[in-house]
Amino acid sequence: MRKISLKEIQDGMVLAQEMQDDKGRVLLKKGDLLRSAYKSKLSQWGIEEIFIVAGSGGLDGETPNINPEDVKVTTAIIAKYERLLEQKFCDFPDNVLMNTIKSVAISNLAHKEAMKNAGF
Amino acid sequence: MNSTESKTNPDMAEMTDTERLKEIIEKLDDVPSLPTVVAEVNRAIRNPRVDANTVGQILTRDQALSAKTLKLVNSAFYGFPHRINSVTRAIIVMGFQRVRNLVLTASVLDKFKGGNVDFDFSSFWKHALGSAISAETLSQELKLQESEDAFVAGLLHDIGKLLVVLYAPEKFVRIRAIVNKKNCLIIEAEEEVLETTHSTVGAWLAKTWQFPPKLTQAIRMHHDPQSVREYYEMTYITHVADIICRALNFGDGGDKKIPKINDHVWKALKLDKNILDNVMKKTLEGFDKTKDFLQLLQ
Repeated sequence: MRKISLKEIQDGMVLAQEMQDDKGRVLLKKGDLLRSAYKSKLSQWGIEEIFIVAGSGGLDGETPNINPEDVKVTTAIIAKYERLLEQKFCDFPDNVLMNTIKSVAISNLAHKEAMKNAGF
Repeated sequence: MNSTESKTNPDMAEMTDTERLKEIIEKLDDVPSLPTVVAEVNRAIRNPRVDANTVGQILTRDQALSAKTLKLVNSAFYGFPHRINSVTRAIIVMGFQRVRNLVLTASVLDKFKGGNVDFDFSSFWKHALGSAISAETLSQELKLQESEDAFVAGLLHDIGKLLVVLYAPEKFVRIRAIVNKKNCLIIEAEEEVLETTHSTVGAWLAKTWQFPPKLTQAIRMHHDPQSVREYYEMTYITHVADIICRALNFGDGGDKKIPKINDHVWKALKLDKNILDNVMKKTLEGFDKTKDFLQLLQ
């Protein structure tokens, strides 16, 4: 389950909790499919935030509780990609441009894996 | 035909591309044509005064192709907040060029999604899609014109490999055996078996399918970019995109190697480490959103 603001609503998200107005009338049921077009109506009802099923509407799941900038790329992940690209680049050990391409690729691949491991 | 090929077989210099390729690819006459609406859309958008409705009407004559195009339009890759329900609407939102390119993408993916051969089509198209995203991102980063065309150049740069796989399967088996034995680039094995390469074969197909000349040229010259005299930007971008995509390990380029980047291209495009870093980052992000493209193969 994940709390989002109205502006974050996307087509295909699934509502995780029943929604009622202040008189207890059911507005939307748990499991209802959300549409971005609902934003204005929900806003008129005074609703600012809703709970959706994590992973619905194209989201990958719960948002991790850490800042993306704090994700650490470990030496083990870097070493994994160094090994992976070693054979591909083995014909150009001293070529400056190919070494640049290799190091930028390793850094990006390793960063992506670290982000994925952290839940992003 | 380049000078090396002329030297290896002087008789071939006298023959047309098609005649020469027919000697290499026995079943060349079986190569499919693209749906007729693709050519009609190409013709229509050459008229600067054409409107979205007219092109939309042409496209909807082919319902299956329109549906596939709309699937790509509405893919996570473009991330529109609302679903786009008609090709006319897609043209208004995305422009003629981009929609034309998606029509082309959908048609080619549909024509070459598989066959009765031992070949991993999905890995091939992953490499192609990675190159497409990388080519478009690179041309945007370098602020070049017509970056949307770079996507198609990246996507189709290796299309000649599929022609060999599907229409000369026995020769492809020999090519793959050489690649595995010598651990070389596929282009070197192709020279040995075919006396030509997938670049030449792909350019023939692009010409046959009446692709724009700059696209044909990019396909033909992406392994020899320095020899290009016209449309050089598109060729340079395709050359670099292929290398970026192989460095990022997307799919399968046909071998376990990586071609050497051309120094002249690096300088001419004024590439540097920061640009490369941005392009790789955005390419990795974009590649994650291409599931809908690969679903067209199923």
